[in-house]
Amino acid sequence: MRKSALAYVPGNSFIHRLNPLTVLTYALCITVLGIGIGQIWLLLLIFVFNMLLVVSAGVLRNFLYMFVRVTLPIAIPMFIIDSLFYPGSKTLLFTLGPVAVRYEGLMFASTVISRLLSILSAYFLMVLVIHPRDLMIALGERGVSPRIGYLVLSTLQLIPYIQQTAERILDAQRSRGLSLKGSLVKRFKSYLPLMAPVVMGSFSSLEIRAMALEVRGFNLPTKRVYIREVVDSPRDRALRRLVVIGALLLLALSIYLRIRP
Amino acid sequence: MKKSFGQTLKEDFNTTALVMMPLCVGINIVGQFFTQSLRLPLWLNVIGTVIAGVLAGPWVGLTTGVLTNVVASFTIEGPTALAFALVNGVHGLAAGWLASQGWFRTWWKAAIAGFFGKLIDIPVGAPVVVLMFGGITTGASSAVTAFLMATGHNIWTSVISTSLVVDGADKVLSTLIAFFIIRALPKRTLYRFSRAALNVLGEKKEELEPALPA
Repeated sequence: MRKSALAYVPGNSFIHRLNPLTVLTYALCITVLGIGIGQIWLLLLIFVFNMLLVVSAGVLRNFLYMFVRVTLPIAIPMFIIDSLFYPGSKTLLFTLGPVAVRYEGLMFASTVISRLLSILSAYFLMVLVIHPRDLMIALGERGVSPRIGYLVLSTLQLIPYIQQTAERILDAQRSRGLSLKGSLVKRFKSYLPLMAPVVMGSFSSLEIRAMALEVRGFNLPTKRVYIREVVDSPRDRALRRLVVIGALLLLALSIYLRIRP
Repeated sequence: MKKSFGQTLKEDFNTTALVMMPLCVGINIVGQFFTQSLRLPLWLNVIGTVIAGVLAGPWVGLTTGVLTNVVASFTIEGPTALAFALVNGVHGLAAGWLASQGWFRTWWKAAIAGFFGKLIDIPVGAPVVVLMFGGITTGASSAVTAFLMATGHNIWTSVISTSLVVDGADKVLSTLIAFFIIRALPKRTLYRFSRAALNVLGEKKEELEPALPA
């Protein structure tokens, strides 16, 4: 089983030192742009800009490792299927043996892929340079309930533990003769003896966990303070404004280019 | 007396629910791990979301679904899951709402509830699949989409019908598994949630008189 380790890479680059909210604002702006912009060259330009940021953050190696593994299995079949079979394609470009590549399908596939690249790369950058803990602290300082912070962080801590449990149960049941092979129905029947112990085990710790939180004053209506400090410098505030204004301008440019006679 | 929405939310998101949500996210993730180990052509990744929705209401269900994908985004699996956060969430919303109408007391009604969840996840999920992923995501269902497109169907028709047929079965099964898990939980655990007693056992919660005058 693939271990779901955090994607975060520690570092001391310019982007690492930014407030997490600044990076989040950037990713959200790129999402709006990615959806709003229709020109392939503009989308690819955004992708190139994201790549420059990735390089300057010094996380290129991890970025490539994750990005290639996640996007290639989607991008390659999508490009082939959409460019060959996109419905309503008429303009024939060329034929390769039995298959015909048509203009509309190729355009659709290229647009979708450049959109995918531009939006996803911004989020990959975000998860590589932000520790979720810092993001939760930054959000908490902006008035987001500390309960949401607790939810995200305790989930992140729990996942490796529950994955270990799952592997142990898998091994235990196999040593008792549970088969992972056979017909589909047979394999499906093996699902329940695997799932039930995980669920029952985790629900049995529920009460203890809830009580542990309550006796530590989890529900007190006081303001929380954090051991770690996340700074929000004037530079961050200026950058956030710049990012939003830049995104709006780019969006306006894209729309202007499309409706221009 | 009718409770205000804020009051209901406060009761739904009690400490036990807050502790349960990470566990349900874990169940979602482990559910998917076991389908991979058994090479089942399914996802079964909303089991935890449905459990959360039934036990503590639609808003807790919605939060659990979104939380699953948000947290998965911060791992080395990559942030693709973020695009489908709401898709997972609406299953919790649907299960929670239908459970309050008594749909999680018999197994066949729960199965229908699972399919209903699929129906309302389409308007949320299909645009993401078509516009961002060109109709193709990883998984067995994409082959069906590709086949439908190759035989001359519109990309939206292809994605939606694949989603209904292939993922519909998946969500019905997920909901059924969630239903049987909930039935196996001890009553004592159920009573710790705001809605489980009514949703699962059909018992109205008695309003206790305060022991001391306030």
